[in-house]
Amino acid sequence: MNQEFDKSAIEAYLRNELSPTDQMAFEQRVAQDPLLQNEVTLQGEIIAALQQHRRTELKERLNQIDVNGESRYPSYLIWASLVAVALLGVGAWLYLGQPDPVPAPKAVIPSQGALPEATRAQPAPSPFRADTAVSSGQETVAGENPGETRRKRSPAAKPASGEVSKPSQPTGSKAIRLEDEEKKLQREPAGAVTSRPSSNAGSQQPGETEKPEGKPAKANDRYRFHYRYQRGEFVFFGLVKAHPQVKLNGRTYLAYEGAFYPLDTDAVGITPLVAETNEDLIRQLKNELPAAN
Amino acid sequence: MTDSETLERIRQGDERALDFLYKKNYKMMTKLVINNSGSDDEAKDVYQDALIIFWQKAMDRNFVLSSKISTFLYSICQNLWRKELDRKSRLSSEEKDGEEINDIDKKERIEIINQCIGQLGDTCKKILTYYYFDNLSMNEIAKKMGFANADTAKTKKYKCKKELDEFIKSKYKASDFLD
Repeated sequence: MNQEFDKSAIEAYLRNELSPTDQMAFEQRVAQDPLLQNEVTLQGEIIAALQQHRRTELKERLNQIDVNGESRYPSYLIWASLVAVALLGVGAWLYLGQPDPVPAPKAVIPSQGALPEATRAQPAPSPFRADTAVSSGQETVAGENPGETRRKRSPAAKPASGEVSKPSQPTGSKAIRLEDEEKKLQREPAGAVTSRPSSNAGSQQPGETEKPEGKPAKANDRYRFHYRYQRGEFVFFGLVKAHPQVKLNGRTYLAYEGAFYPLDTDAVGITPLVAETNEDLIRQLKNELPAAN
Repeated sequence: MTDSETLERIRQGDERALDFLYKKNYKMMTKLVINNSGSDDEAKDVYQDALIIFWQKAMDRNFVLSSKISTFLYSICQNLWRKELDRKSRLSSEEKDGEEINDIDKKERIEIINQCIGQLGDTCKKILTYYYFDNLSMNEIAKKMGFANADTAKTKKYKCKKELDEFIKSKYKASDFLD
């Protein structure tokens, strides 16, 4: 006797899956075979017991249900909905409530005679580091965004002192982004900006400075190569690393690519860097320049 | 949830549809029993049985719902309660006969079977009950259990059933031997 065949036939019979003809034929076989009859009985009991097991399980499940509650929906669904609505609200606020994008300063370079690092107290509420920022539009927005938390603090900044505050008054002027390929960028001030982490800039966060390929740089182009004076230091936009500053006749100049850019402590707003053109001054400044540059 | 949605979800083996129905119709169905000399517990028991019968019927793809689910449930409750009242009246008018005494062997077998089911792994228990009680297809079992496909479910079902059969038979033989 083929037991496997019998098993599937028994099961088909017990599950009413046989055609009437097959069913009759099977019943005849059962009637003539006591062993098969025993097996059919046992299998029928096993299936019945399994069914009873499931019935009991379902009844236990139903017994857990609170039938007095009026709500047609489980309370967790209601809570989940409320949380979802709240999150949407926050998301909308973050998205719509953002002011015009303002670049985060690329590097903070204390001016000569400026307040030491320790005094760079930052009462501004923005906990989002500006001086790690780059000139990509995305990141300048992030610098402004109170919800943006991925900014990393510059190692130069004291933990308690906070950071350079976010620029509050974006200007429409154009800035050049400074980095290792600064020359190129100077030639193409509005070109694509794919920055490269600079070992020189402690505040630089590799990966954060990379501008997504093909992304328009309009939002930050206007702040390329800008600066402003903020809390005792000059903050530069579009710079990857710090560049030397030279003091001459009480005025500070940024030395950059062989040119000198006068820095004004009155520049509280974001101000474009404009190279000094006075040949005499440039000559004097070059003499003042540290040997390293 | 509309009736057709509920039915569809039941057919997928979604127990939450059962919960939903249970809660939705609880008052109406239990009232039927309570208003016909039933206790609260009896009413609850009958309603739960009726709902589980509906669940099983709904699993059958040939089942056609020709009325509202609540109407259908109501009629199952009515039948169950009528049967229960009949059984009660028979029990009160007749002494317990020897009908059950003849089934000692069967009772013992069923006890063994239940013990073995209880000792099955959770996965096997689920597969076998989904198959034999809920009549879920292998595809639906695979979905519910997170298996790759129906073939996996089929293989697992086969192995689980074999395990159960062998377990029962080994116990059964031992108990025979003791007798």
